[in-house]
Amino acid sequence: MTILISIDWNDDKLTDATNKLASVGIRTVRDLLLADRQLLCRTGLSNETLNLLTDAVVELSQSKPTPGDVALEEQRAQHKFLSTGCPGIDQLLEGGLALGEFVEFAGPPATGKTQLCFFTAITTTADDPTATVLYIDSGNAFSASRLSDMYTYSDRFQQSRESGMDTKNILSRVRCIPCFDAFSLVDIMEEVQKSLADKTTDFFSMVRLLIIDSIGALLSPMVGYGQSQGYVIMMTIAQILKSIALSHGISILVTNYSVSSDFKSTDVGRPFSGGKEGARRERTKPALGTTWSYVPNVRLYFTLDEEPSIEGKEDDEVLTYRNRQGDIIPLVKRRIDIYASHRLRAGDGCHLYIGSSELLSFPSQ
Amino acid sequence: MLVPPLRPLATLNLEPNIRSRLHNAGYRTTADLGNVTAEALAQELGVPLHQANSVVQQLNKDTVVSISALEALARERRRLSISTFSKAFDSMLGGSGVPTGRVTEICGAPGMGKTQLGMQLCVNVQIPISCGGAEGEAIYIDTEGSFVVERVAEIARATYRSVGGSEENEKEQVDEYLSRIHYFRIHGYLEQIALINQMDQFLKKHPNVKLMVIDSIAFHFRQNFTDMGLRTRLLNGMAQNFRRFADMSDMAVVLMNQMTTRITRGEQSNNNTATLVPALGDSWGHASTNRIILFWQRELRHAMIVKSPNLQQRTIQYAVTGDGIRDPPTTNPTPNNPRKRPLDE
Repeated sequence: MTILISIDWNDDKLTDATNKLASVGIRTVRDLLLADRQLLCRTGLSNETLNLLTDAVVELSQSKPTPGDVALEEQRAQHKFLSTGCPGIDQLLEGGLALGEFVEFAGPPATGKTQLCFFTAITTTADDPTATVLYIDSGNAFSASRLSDMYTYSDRFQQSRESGMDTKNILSRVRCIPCFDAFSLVDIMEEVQKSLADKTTDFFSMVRLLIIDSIGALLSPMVGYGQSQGYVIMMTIAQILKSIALSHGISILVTNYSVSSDFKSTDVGRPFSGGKEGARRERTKPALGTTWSYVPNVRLYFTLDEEPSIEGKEDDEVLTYRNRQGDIIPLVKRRIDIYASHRLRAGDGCHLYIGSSELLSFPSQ
Repeated sequence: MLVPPLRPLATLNLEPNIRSRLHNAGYRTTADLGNVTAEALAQELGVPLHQANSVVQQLNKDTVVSISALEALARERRRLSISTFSKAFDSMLGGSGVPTGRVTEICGAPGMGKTQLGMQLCVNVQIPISCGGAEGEAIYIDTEGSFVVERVAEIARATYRSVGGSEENEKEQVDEYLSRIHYFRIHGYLEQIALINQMDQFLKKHPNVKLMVIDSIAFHFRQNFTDMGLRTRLLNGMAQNFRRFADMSDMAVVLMNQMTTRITRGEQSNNNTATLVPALGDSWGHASTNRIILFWQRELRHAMIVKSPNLQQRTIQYAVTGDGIRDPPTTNPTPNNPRKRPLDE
């Protein structure tokens, strides 16, 4: 709620009036608009001044409409994408993560969500020599050594390495905040929002990507039947994140758990058209329920491409990739599908290959 | 310019009683409490001063600490590891054993050696830093009743000898090893949750604890639960605490988990398939930083790392001997060069 005396009126008469009002306990915009007129007149302010003040306050508080053509111009100017570092996924996302967009990676454990977060973070800092990334880690999974390995050995960053950008430079532009419960996440988001608005440090004035890995770990103990407080926290976080994304042009990337979907018959789960491979049905779905499902703009769902089998492991073929240094890297294969999106076709998908220092995905022709 | 959203008071970590009193007194957002002192609040709500203080304190919290990835890298390199005494097992975990500062989950059917591994780690965490250990104390939370002190003494004796201890004061040294293992026996899930919630105080009194083993996390949570949603919430709440302990006290948290059979329905009712998967369901799979599955194959014990943010998926062999966990005696190296197929897409 806006405090009246904190507003800069550029008008001595109005400044004087707000000071007088504050002395009788009318402090906020709401106080003024809801106060009894006769009571206000007792402060010695004229009706005229009060009308002037009320008009000014209403003017300040209302949201102004933007004409459609201006909005389009503004949107075009902001129409920039952050690359995930993987051409196939960028194609799936029709360019990458749009600035101001809220993207969720959901899926079962060990499907590559955190890996793609790491890779996107490095790609963002490598592509733009001033960009910074904020990483909120609740899964105790932030691994700086993994980030360092990816940048040092991946073919994707050969060009930036040759241009003289060293690992130190990349790593110093990624900052991590450990967070272990939902209450402290709200504290952190409040403070981050303030730092972004005040541009307190060089770091905060250049943030392009905010990652929360994982939002599921923080919120899932708090939501469920009869847990109204959890939902208040969830939606407060969602609001802050959306407001940060839009007002500072930052991409928000969160990871989420998976839970089993109710499978009563063979007709289970949400069908994935799965591109060319025909319909697939999953026995899991993203966690956090219906309320949360309205929050992200784009939801990607990660799955193991095939169930890993414990038996007969060494007879299996291992996929490999020869990188530009000539090293042969074993890979594991994962699948990513669009679960829901306002701008992409749900059901489209691609494969992601994860190796010791490499994340690969290929665009379809 | 967007106006930043106001923070509802319900997002503060308050007792329900205080929360409803604040609500009834007309406070809705943190901004409403902006200029209120604890004394005035205590009087207005009719609560003791210390409760009002706790509200005001939450509004003036500490500034958020962030570290750059560069600092994190230096910190990760300083972190100690706890050796399992099996070279293959250690190398699977990144070279020198179970990492501190992380939560490691070990899943396996009965008889795979989970308890043996837990006891071995409890002893090995005490190896002096000069001998490559972590020189810390251990907490052992036993939910199944499978912790056998005689066996720990046996393992401790073998460990003491392998770090070059002399024979004359072996008995005192073994006793000392045992005295630095804090053992908790848990008989129900409520006890388990209560213990985890009070662990902060214990850790404050024993700052040198570098390892916490829970054997097993699943035991009390696999029965007596009709509301599976409640079980998931309780487990995830506990997992949050484990991650916090690991990070704050730079300790290794090792969670043992059981295995369960999952029936996957096929297209027709007659081609259902059964697979062995870790217990406690889908969302628990996210709880740990590293996840290892133990299994038998051709009468040899195998361990496979299936989830890790920084380690490659791989499989190794290990053995359980009279002295504890070791490499298998046969110099039968893990087949580490399977048929390779180049990626072409």
